[in-house]
Amino acid sequence: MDSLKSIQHIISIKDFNRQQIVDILELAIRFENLRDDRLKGCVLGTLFFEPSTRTRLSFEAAMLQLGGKVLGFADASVSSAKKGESLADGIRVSSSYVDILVLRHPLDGAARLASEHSSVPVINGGDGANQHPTQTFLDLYTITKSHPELLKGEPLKVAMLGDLRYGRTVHSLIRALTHFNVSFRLISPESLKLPDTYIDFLDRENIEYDACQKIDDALEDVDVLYATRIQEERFPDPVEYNRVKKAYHLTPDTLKGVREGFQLLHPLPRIQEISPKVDALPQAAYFGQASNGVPVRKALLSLLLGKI
Amino acid sequence: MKEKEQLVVEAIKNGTVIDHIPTDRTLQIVDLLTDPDDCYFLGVNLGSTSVGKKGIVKLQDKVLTKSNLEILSALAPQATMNIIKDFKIVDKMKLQIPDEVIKVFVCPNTRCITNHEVIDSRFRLGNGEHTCAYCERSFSVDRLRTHPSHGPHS
Repeated sequence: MDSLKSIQHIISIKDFNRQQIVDILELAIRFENLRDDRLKGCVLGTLFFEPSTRTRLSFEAAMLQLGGKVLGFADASVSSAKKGESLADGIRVSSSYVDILVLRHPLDGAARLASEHSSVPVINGGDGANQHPTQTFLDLYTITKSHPELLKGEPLKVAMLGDLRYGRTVHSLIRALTHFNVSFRLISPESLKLPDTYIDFLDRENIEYDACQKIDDALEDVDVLYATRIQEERFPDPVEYNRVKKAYHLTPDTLKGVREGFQLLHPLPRIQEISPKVDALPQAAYFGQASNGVPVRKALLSLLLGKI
Repeated sequence: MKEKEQLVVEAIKNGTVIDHIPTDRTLQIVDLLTDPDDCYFLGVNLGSTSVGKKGIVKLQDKVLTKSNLEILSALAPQATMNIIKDFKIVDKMKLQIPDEVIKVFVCPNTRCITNHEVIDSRFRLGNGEHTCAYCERSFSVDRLRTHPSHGPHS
């Protein structure tokens, strides 16, 4: 675990090399079902300037299960930001009250800025359309639990479905997976294609990928399907949102003929992209994925607080 | 070609000559590196084997500051610079491309925190693109506006 000693904040998956990612995934296994008092006396500040259910609650659960305490807000309208306080000032002040901070903010780069003004470790709980690194760690954790061969260099084909343009979970996961032997299938409407900057990155790194718009026949050679919600809040143009919002609807029929060990992941919340009829299928991994947020976040909190 | 350049771009007695500027960035560089009272000569759309059409700027009695050099390196990394004294080249310099430039560019991403808080922008240079250290988006140089503090009348 020597690779983890230099980590002070968790801001972007780009800050982590392959060894660090592997070590964090192995660390998370140790926190699975673990409850103790290692974080007793420590306080987590949760600054959520944007709505969140899973991320906030799983951070809180992780802290409480390790004996720590939590304070914060889940609604920007109750913070001083409403009065016009800068984020930098807000972070300077709140970091003096707690031992570690988790921040969710609507603007890209907010977490990086926060880490520059905080006196305690900062964890990015999602900054606009940019990064959501703890989601990426729990996505990787979920994938490697079912496909441990990935960590040994075996090949895996991962399909990304839905909003590949604005989806920060997609961007972060693609970047993280390129440390391993992964090829991609990018399935999205034309207007929600993966941005050029990520396509250029895949080209530069010689990562194999293909792209299509329809899901028909696109899953036969895929090991993991990462479906995403079409996010209304990220669309500058509501007309365009209405045009693509129902682009995909996964049913048990869609998953017929998929490979042995196939996993369907989704960062949740889902709206209509996955039928509830899929929930009972063995391929439906998304609720287990959400549960994995707790051991992963327990590991990250303990790491940053020097309690592993 | 050299003779033709000398016809269209006046020689200077003392100062700095910046050559091999991509031609479409020449005016922008002049704008950023000169003050209202500066005397300079420039040529654009001149032939060049290294950058296609090139621009050349001759800054009379002017030595570039460290900040000027950062801007120049970020906008035209392939440019060359000659220091002139008494009409003679006394020093030839290649630009050192910095890893990062601070408060040089404005991030084009309107959702980037740097466009909403009073903080200095930071861009990492590399791979022919400049990447915002905050929102992590990469942009080609053509898409980047320079920070207002680098204007000619700042």
